[in-house]
Amino acid sequence: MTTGTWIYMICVWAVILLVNVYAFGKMFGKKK
Amino acid sequence: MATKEVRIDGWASRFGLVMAMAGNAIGLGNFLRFPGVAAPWGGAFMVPYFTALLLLGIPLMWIEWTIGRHGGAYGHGSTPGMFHRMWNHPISKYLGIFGVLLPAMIGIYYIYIESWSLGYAWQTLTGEYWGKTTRDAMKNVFQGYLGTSEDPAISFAWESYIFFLITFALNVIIFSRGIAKGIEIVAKYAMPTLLVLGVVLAVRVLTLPSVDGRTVSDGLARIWVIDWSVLKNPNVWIDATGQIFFTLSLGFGMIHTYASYLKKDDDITLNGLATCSTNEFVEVILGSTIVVPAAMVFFGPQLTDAIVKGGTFDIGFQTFPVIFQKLPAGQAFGVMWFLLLFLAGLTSSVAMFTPLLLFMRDELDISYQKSVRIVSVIVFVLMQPVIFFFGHGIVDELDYWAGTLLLVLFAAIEATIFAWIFGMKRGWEEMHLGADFRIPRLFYPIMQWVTPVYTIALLGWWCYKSLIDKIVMKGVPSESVPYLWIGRLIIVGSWCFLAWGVWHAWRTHPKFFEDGDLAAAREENES
Repeated sequence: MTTGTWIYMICVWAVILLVNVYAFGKMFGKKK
Repeated sequence: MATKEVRIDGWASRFGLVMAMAGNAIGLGNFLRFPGVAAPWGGAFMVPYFTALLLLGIPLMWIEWTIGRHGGAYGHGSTPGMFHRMWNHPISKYLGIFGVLLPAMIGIYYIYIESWSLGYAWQTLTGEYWGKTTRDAMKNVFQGYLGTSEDPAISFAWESYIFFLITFALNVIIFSRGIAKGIEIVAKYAMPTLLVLGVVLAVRVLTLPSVDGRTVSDGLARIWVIDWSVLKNPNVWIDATGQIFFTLSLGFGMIHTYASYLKKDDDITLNGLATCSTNEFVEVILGSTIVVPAAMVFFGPQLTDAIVKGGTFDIGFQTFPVIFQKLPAGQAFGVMWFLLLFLAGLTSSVAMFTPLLLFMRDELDISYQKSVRIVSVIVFVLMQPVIFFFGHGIVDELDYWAGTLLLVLFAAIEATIFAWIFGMKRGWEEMHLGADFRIPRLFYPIMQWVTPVYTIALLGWWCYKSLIDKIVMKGVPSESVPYLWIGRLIIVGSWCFLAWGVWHAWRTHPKFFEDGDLAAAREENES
């Protein structure tokens, strides 16, 4: 794979991980 | 009494709910179907895949949560009652039957396939197939396990049947304990275990040394290097859109049932987003990292192409046992792999009969435990032709109708009812009751127009491409035709039975389905 493809793949993984962190962080960081 | 059960059972914790929803979505498809569908198209597949996720997958996830919570507030745990509450028309409840029928039909063969993972975990642990180091040798082992190589008329093997019985019993025990004490507890332990096993296996694959100059990077390239010209082929769009349906368990009716246990002001937007994001973590990060890169390192590009085209069973049960035999500590990783598949399957299959159980409890007024006994017996009987005639295409027939075409039909129906009949403005407000996360306004027109039209277009394309050939059984060997008719008979017969149930319920207790709470209406009626 070229460096560009590695960066693209890691960016996609990062977006998915960030959405997970956001969703679960907001869910359990909030006191209901 | 059924009315009390409606009140008592429910989710004990939010974490449990999200794990159960994610477990429902995460299944064998994340690890086996996804690489099989994605790799032949190369990295171009990911473009329509993410497009479909944003325009169809996530919006439908929110729509299904909303339909489920809305119907649940009236005491309906399955889609016939839910659709009736959204669209007061005689036909709506009959359209909702699909949300009860399809998961049960899929469960009939899914549990059998799930049991193979348990059987193979055992075989790997005991080293039963160790020494069979080629794919052809493992193909014979697999056919022997299923009994498909021995008898042309009846496929049967004792070992696989015993593991089926164990898996079936486990499923019945879990769903007989209800939501909080059964499904939620299993999801709370099984899902983190599944994630740990998946991460360990992904790290193992990513750290594989090169074999004859072939590296993990070559395998990742199959998933991530984009050839833009491939996007001109409509089939890549169809395949990617179909995968979004299967991976998120959309159009199954199960999400509705889980969401029906929520209270009116419980969040659904953030929960729905978390379900999608967990599923995508498992599919895109773990699912893309394990199968294709490992196959590429050990088998090279040409064989990898053949493996992924060979489909789900070839990847999971013929290729990976060979790979584990080439790895240091391969037996341990092999057991982990099959346990991973088993847990992924189990957390999905326990959800598949829940809509039917709640339909019987809420609409037919049969107690939950009695429903469990009735459903277990019926399902067990219906599973026997699937197991005994497995080699004759009966699973493919059930999978085409219940697991493919009718899912999309059901999703098209629910998207249309939600956006165009119930009304998008009303639906949007309903969705945001108690919301912990405000959905970006951009999704309003997407849910209103793009999602229904996209789903209807997908349905139309599939019908155009395959419906006639499938109806007339084109290319099916004449000896397999009777078995395919058995599959069709199971689906049509079950639909008719459920249609009778709906007719009976609405005729006998019409008052329950007027305005107000179902349980309250029932109590009033009985008094």
